[in-house]
Amino acid sequence: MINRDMLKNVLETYGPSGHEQRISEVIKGYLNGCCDEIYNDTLGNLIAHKKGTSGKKVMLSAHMDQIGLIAVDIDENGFIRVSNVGGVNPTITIARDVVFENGTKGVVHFETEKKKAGEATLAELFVDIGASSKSEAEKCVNIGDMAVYAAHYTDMGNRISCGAMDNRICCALLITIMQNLKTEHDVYAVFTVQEEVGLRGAGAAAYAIDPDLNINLDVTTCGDMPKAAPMSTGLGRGAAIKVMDSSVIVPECVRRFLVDTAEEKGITYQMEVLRGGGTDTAAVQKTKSGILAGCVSVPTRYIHSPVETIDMRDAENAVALFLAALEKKTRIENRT
Amino acid sequence: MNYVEVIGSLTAAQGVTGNENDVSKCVMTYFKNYTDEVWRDKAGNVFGKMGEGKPVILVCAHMDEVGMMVTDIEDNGMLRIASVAGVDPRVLPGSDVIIHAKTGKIKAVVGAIPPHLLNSDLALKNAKKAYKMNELVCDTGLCADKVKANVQIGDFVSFAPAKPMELLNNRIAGKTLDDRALVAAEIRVMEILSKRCLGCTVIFCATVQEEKGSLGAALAAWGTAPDVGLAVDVCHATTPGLGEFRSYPIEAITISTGCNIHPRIFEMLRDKADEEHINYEISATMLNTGTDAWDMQIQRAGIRCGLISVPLRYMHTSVECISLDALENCARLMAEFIADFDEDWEEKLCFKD
Repeated sequence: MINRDMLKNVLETYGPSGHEQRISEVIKGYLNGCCDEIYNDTLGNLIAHKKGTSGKKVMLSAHMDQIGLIAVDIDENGFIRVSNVGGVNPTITIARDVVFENGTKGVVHFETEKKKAGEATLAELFVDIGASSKSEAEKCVNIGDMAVYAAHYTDMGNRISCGAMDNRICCALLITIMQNLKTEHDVYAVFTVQEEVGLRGAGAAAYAIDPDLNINLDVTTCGDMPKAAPMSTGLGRGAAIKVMDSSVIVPECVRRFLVDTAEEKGITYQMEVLRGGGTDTAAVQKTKSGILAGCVSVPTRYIHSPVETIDMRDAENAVALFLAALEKKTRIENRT
Repeated sequence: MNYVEVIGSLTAAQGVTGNENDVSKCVMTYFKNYTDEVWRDKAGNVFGKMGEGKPVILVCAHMDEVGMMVTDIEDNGMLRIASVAGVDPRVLPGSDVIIHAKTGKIKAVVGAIPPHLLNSDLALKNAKKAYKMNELVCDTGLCADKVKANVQIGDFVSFAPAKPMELLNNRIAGKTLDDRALVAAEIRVMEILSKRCLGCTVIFCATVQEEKGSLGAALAAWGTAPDVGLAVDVCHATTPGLGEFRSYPIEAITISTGCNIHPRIFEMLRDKADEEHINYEISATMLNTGTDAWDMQIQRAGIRCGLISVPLRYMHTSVECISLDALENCARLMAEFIADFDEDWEEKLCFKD
């Protein structure tokens, strides 16, 4: 159901936190014609609204920003010093190619005088854009410009690897969901900004929309690689229904609703308890006097690296789960 | 009101952070003894309202407890667990716990390697350090098939309930006194105020998820839009090995000051404590107090907050220890503070030039 050309395009589009205009335009292109209105709010969240008749508002969300590097200094020889935008691991950033918003390409390396690659901190890394002087570099990159890992889309059959899989896979899912949606509810698909720098976009969108229910889509880690940190989720075992992460505990009624839907429709799912990491769900839940919010995750290996890897069957299961859940008329309420 | 009895039934109820349904029912029963206006919000916070008119004072004590969650079921039927907000893995071995499965409650234990067998290199190495959460297993005694049929990843795990122990000097020890002892103090304040004529509205709230970022208090404060927010929680009592500057005598209560606390609320609490001859200490916390007051303060257009704490030993273990005399002093101070508000409240709370 998920169009791979669309997925590839969404994965390869530039959009670090705070600079989501390009990715927002690309997503908008796929939503034209399947929504009643589509607009960006003040912070840049892209909101696609499909009207319903039930009087209930459901907000679906997925963040569209990606982690990146921000230029903080350019030296005499044209080397660019960088800081992180979101959770960037210095070790796996070394020897990578990166790209700036205007298309300027560069490669990342580090100060080799005293340290080895595994020991270097982000302050000891630099980007080489091929310039031989400060003035030459400044023609392409200015202080404050952001770079992202250059996209290398690798199709391995059922499994696909690319940078920005966190969270563009879920943007592609949300596009697919909106294109195939059958529901009587008022549905707002929100592609949020600035999740990677502290869940900063989703709360504002939730405040304005004030939904009866939010279901978020994001990636989660896997424990099925050699000697991986313990984690029950793995590739190919289905859409992951979130119970808890370090930012949120999903209310039982929301979790139960998703589990029941999956079981009724025979959709493969797994439960997710994530020890480290947070999602937009937490920001939405804490909005106003509280919003019922849950999350479905796509299990992903090597998160926050340029080779984030997912299994398309899990993604398809997640789409099926959303479409089935939204077709339901059940009222979700906290027990008293 | 009998503290031991009320605390006993509050702590016997289950309410791990994020799953406070059982304990909220228990709290509602007690709140209903003193007011007809008792309700629960979307997040699960329980409210009890007394009095009417301005100002509105929101009092928050959290009812959630630290606990655990099942993260994995091993092929041999053992369960792996993660902390849900603040359980200390050092004190877990030797605990009896309850798995809250969909099919009902299942008893289990968290064990440890016997000291006799700590002779292999690996075991010796392990013996020298405390257990980490992912090294512990939870044992239900059931065979793997039965475990898998009943337990699901994501099920909550709580310490098994036990009656609080009555120690000497009017002290008690038990699980979840953080912060159910203060929920009991709220109920005591309701009892005191039910015999008084109130010049304001007071909303008592037993909040959810304090242990995970004060979600409940934030939502409660947004929902009730109070003029004053008062958090009541526990702090650390002096314990051998603990620096004095981080702890307070177990018989005293503390009144907090710092950027989380409105200066006039602090002064009002301090002056009232002096007037009532209450044994107190001042706790200066420059940043986050780590209580419901922190998130309450920044809701809506900002809320004036105060914080009273009761010192407690062995926080987040199943033998938390507290003085009932200090608890009663905390309740008295809360009651007198609330009873002091009337129509000139704005005058009382504004900054003097």
